[in-house]
Amino acid sequence: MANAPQLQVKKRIICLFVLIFVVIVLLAFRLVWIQVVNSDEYQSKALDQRLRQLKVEPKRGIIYDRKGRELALSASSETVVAIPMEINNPELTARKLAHVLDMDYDYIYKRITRKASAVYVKRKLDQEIAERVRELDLKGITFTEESKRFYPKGNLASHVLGFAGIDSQGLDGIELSYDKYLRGTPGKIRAERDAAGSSIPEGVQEYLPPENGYNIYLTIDEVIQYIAERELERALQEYNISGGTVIVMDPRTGGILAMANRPDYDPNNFADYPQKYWRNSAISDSFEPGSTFKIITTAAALEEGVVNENDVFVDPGYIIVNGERISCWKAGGHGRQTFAEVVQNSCNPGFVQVGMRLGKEAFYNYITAFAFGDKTGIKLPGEAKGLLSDYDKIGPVELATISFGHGITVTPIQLTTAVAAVANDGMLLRPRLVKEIRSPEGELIEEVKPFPVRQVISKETARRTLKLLERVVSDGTGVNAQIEGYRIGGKTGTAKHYGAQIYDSSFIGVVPVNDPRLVISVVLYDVTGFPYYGSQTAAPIFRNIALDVLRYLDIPPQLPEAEDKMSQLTEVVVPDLKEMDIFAAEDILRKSGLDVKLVGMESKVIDQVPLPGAKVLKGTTVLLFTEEANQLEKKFYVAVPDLTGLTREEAEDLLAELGLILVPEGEGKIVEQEIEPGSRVPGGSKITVRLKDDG
Amino acid sequence: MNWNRKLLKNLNWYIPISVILLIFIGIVAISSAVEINKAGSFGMIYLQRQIIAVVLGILLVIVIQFFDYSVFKHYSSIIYLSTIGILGLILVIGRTIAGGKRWIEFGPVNFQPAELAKIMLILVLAAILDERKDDLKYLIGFFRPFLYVIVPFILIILQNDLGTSLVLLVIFIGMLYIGGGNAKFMAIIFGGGLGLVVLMITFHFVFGTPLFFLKDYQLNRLIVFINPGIDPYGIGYNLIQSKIALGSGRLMGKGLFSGTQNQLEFLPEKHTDFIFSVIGEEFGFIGIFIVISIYLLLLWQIFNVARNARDNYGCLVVTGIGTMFFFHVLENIGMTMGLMPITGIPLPFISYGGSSMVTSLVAIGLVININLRRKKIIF
Repeated sequence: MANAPQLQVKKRIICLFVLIFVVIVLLAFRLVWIQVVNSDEYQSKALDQRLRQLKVEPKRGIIYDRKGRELALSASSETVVAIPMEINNPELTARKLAHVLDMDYDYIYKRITRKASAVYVKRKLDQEIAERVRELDLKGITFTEESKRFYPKGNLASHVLGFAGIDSQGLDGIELSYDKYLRGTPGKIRAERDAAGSSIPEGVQEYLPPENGYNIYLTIDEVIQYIAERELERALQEYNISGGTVIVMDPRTGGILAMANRPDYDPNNFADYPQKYWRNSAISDSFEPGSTFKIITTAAALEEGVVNENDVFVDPGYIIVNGERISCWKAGGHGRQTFAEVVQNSCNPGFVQVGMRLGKEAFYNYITAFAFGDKTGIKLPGEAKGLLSDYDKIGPVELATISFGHGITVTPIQLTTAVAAVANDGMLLRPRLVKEIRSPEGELIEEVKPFPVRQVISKETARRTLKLLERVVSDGTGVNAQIEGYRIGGKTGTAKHYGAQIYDSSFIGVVPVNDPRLVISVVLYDVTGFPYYGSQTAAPIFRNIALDVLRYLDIPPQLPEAEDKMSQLTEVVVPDLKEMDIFAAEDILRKSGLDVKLVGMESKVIDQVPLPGAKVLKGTTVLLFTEEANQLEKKFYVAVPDLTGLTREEAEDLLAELGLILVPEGEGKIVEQEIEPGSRVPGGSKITVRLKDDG
Repeated sequence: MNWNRKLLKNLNWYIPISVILLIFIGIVAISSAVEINKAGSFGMIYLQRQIIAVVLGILLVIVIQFFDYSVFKHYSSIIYLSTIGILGLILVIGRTIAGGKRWIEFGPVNFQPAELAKIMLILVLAAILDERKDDLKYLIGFFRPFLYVIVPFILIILQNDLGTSLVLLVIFIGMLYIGGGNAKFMAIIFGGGLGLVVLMITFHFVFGTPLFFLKDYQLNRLIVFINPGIDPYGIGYNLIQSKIALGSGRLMGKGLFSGTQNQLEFLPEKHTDFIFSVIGEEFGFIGIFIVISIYLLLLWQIFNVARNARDNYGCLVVTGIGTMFFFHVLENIGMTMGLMPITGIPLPFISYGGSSMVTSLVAIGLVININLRRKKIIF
């Protein structure tokens, strides 16, 4: 036994075993790390590689108008999917596919040889082509159904609806802002595959059905939308404008019945249009409102009690504010007038005085209370705030200009919402486009109720403001908006772009004034050439829209035929005012329902336009000249407008505004004018035109 | 023949019992790995072959008991020379499987001589180390045993079996240590050697210096070892799939025949080199913990046998065998979880493979032999 292991050897054996023990325990720790601590990660990796998962797209919800007419819906279409691991001959497969799908061979080859479990080859193709691919019967090429967005009404309400992309993701408009409702939840098909990629007959086959998106009912009425778009389209043909916006709102609920813009696009092929066409001007573009903003000034002033309807203002044609001269749109001014007439005549110096009476603080408070300078909260992407100067930056001049709607910009939706508040007894409502959201089974998911923001002005003030607006339409600048039998309140607006002969013209109206059901705003952008006044461009559009919408909604006329305002629009004979004192002359004219414009700085009338004895409509402006003609001629040259296409009345109005006299020959519409448009003539010149009845 | 029934009283039962448990676990795991649960599976053939190897191995274990192990010491030069001869012969007539020229065909039976070479070398080394025990205190004494090891080491490397040659090296280190090798010198030589190899590989990656001792595929395994994510469908595939199998098995496992990594054939070489991953996937950490515990028990008992051996030679033989098993377990399990580079070293008693099974059982037979003939034997 001399050769038995010695003590040192035994110690070493223990050492060695301890080392082995430690190493194996370390291995065990590593296993705990993999199998217990990090097992989730490995489990999901194992799942990923053995379960080939195909997404089943949910059907995107339908967008309806308020009466359940489909505006956007989803149709299923087929998508070609390649499973690279199952393709035996990728060259041949790619060649055949390239041929049928009319696609690039290299592109297809690259896709179908990717190291992925499944790849799209071509998405959402026509049924016919899908059938041809199916006939090829290629191994590893399968189909999946995807839904394709379809807008059955084409361009109609495109800016409201927006559009959805190839993955059924909302990209603009309601499609974007209500995407989470419309989108639904994708389902899954999971099939178990082995390492070689072949499916296993008894393997896990799991089908998780998709949850289809919710359907959305808009406040938009397809018919009203159509009317709005039709009139806007007509305006685009008729006037030199770059675009326009029409909003029709129900002031009682804040629900938008129509929102239309030009230019527009077809959401079915949105990518074919320049991106700027996608822009929803109604909410994204701000403009200088001009006189339409006077509604806000009026409401604020009445509410604050700084004016009442009968307060007298004197407008010499301009007003000096802080050394700056602000002119009235009407050369020579409106002279003496009540506040009601100030509104009716849209007299800038009058409003400047009203603004000054209000004071900066109160006025600013009302502007912000009417939600200018802030988003209205309409749930559409890309809403602009408009430009309202900071309180501290508003000096007396700014206060003066804002009073008549200059030096502030607003979006059409802001203006419409604010006027709708006046029409809704002073309660500002958040504008809304969505009425309710329902599940595909019809279950009510969410009802969007009118959302009152704040009481901006009292009910009484609101009513008084509407009455003044009614006079604008019945007797003032808004006559072109009149509809027989209906009580309409409204306001025109024209704002000249700074330093260019480009205008933004607008009209916003409320009907019926006694029980407002509709607020319709019409904004025309970048009006060039004549006519550019809101009263001549936007007001007739308003009228056409309102006429059809009133009829469509069965809103009865308020006035019996006998009291019809239109029939009251009697003609009056212009009296002879020569040699009279200007104040006496003005008095006489006002009493006979005519408007006055003074030309010259003297106090005696030496000439007048129209000439005595002329028959004109009530409200027509009579020019009174107080200086010698030769003196006047020097400073009073006007450019002759293009009168062709106008009726005699229209031409008369227009020339009267400019201080020119119409000499008509014949009946019907003007086909020819003696003096070419654009040539400058002295004030008071006679313009002979030939009219022709075009039946 | 040297047999006495009383010898059986000395038997450390833990050893045969733990070996039988491991073999049983192995057969269960292999049957899942070869998918005998599936219709039309050829898995039964594997199972039959494995059982034949087990039976053959057990017969050898019994046969070995009839000899006193000193006979191996006596014939060590013949054992050594025949080992070298077979390893040399295989280079000439061997059959190539999976890039390695490792197999010899005897009719229907393929045999991997390198497996047996490990046992033979243990026997030879034990004799040499026992003989020159006192020399091992000096550096010069390392030289002779080293020469004995280097020849089969190179021959096995020439078969492209780097794994097995590494096993030889580790066995050599373990036995040298137990045999009384000067620990300081050993630390310097083998620590320095490892450092040198690491340095050369580092230089290769950083400066592109050539590596004469590694083939491309061996280098790839190292690259993957360092960065498993580098090529998940290529050279990194095995390791990634193995780790997914282990990790997704979690604590409790997915159940027999229910491992998806295994049954859906994501896991490569699953009945041989990666059998451990199958166990990990289907029986979870619990199953693996049991397997590792059995290995630990077995190693513990083997080293007990070594401590109580009748003589230094027996002690060295058992130490060598223990070291061999340990390194097999460490390398095989370590590679399935990315702690060791991937080599083709089987998991003893569990991996499918006749040569490995027979060799392992022969080794156990030797351990039992030495256990039965320990010193406190009462006649």
